[in-house]
Amino acid sequence: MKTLAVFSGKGGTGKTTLVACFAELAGRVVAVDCDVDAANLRLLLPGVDVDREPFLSGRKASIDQDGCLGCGACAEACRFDAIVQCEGTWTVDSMACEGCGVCSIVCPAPDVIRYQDNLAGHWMRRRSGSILLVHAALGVAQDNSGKLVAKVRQEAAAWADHEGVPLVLVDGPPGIGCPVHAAMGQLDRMLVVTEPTPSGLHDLERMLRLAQHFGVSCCVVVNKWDLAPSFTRNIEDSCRTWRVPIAGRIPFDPAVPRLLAKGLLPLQEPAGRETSNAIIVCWSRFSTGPCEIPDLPEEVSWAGGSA
Amino acid sequence: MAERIAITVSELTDLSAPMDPRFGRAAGFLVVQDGEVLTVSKNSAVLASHGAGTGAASLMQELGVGKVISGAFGPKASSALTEMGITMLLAPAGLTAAEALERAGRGELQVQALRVIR
Amino acid sequence: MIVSFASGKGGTGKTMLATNLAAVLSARLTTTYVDADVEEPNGHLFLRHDEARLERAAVSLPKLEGVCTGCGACQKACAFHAILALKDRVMAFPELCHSCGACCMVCPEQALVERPFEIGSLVHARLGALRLVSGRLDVGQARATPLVEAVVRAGVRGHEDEMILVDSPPGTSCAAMAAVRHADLVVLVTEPTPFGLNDLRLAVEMCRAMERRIVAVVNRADLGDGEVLHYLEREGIPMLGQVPFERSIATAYARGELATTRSGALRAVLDAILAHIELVALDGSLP
Repeated sequence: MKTLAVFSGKGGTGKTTLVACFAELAGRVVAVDCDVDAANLRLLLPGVDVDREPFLSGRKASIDQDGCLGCGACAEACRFDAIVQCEGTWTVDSMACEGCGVCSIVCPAPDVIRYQDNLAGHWMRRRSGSILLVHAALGVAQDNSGKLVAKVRQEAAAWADHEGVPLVLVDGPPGIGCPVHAAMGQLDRMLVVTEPTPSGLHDLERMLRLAQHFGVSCCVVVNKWDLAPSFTRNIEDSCRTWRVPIAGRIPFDPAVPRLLAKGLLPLQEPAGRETSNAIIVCWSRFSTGPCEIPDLPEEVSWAGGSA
Repeated sequence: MAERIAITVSELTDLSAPMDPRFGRAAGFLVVQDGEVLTVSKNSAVLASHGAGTGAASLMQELGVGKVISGAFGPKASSALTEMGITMLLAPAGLTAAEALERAGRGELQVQALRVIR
Repeated sequence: MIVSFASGKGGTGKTMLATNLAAVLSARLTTTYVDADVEEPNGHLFLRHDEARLERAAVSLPKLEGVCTGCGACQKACAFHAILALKDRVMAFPELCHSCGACCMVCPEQALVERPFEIGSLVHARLGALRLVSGRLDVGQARATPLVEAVVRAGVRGHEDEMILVDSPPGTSCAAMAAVRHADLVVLVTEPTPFGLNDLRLAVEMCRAMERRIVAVVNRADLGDGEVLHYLEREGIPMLGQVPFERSIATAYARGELATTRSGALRAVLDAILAHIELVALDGSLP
């Protein structure tokens, strides 16, 4: 079983649309939406969720008012300003509470501060034609620590194994933090989607540095390339410097957003022929073509590293 | 005018007092100028309900201090002292105020150049 | 007054709007632009300042500075599995640590001390009259939220009576919330696509959970459908304007230029935001 992932660092580059197209082209695949904060892949892979499971992560403190001595030691010790005084009673602000336990360590009364498991979100399984999808939704104000990302990755791998599906396709979260680290583990290869803008280049290079750090083989595709052809060349030059292959260039196509609104993928009309061909070529190169671990020496300065 | 230096102490006596490794919750401060103790202050910020760091930093500003020597500075203190332009010096454990002051004079104490955010 | 630009979905044009507004506003009022998207800070690509003062930022991480008896009290006390007790020493995991101090408090030998662990930088700069504060998480570091909080604090502190524009990270979890938490006004930037609508709903939920005042702007307004507009109307969220997809904006963006001089539609939306800011400033009870 192989695991392929698509990242972009920057949002809005067209990553999720590409993942949906790749899933369609692959046929037998378990797709997994690791952007648990703003999960969109399910909008392009319609179907009914066959499973919906609660995701518990961390805990929240609560103060038993009957036993509380009103000393306020908990509020003083709390580093997250999560204990407030409301009309004389000390209460926990559960949005701010991180469940660290310090309040109960300092509380002089026994068993007054208690903890409840925190329902952080849900994860789901869905069948969309021959495509299997694992996705999740993190609740509002929840810590996106990567735990839910790790969970959906794990469930996707287990489902693929169980159904004898040879491919897991990961829709990666934006950024370079915890959720991305959790999505980047145990990958065969990854594609970074970028756009020909300074932010596109800046964020691409931060992703490549992270991939270098994790030792993951990459290739890069420039989406909406014809909006700035000379900048596209800058991006491709940068990829050469990082020794990362280019998996293609996809043109900007104003028909695409309208297609997506209708629930269609840009692999068919009214998307331009050029658009759908470029996506097909990109999938072919990404899934079977050359990919390399980014290799930029530590000393060399790069767009994403300067202040 | 020579700079005033504050040192966190766990006993409110004189330069022979042991240093308090904390800043926000230090028992008190010695304020020194030209090697002489100007004031011995109790740390009133200890009474604060949420993080004594900012209160203690305000105290430093009130006392007209340019440098503070302590064992560690928490996020609120660190942020506030940086904004106030007060230099933070880190002293290893177990020194008296006098020993810390001496080491500071010889430039042996590490300056906290980092902004501690949590 | 703090105005935060948020979106739920990434790539809707938050940075484009926030930087352009900062440029326009700084001509009239003392303004600070805060780039709180610490994982991918892009504001500096449009507000190109000269020198910047860099400050390294650190979180507190427990360090063994005494004698460890291997009792494991620290490991037991840690709610995040961030510290491991070995026979005569401990291992702290910075990517898991929340800097709560529990382990140091429970160590019977008082052997654990919190020491700074660098996770990124704060950048302070100026571009003419405009003050710029941004944060940059080191590549490889896991936790963005503490740095987002620190950047916003650094931007606001001492300038509470001035105009502060906060460019938030995407998403609706705690990193984005840290950038929106104290805003007097949140401008949600969206696009008229199913993705835009989905993430707009989440962003609205987030803002309402924190009781923030919300307005919306629709970007690339001609590339999609009318669902987003219907949603905003149903929810009673003022829609301050639509910016159509204009190649001139995209090209200016690609060149790292501010697009205000090139697009009448963009200028109109910025004026609408400014007018709303003035209303909010005059009448704090506006919805």
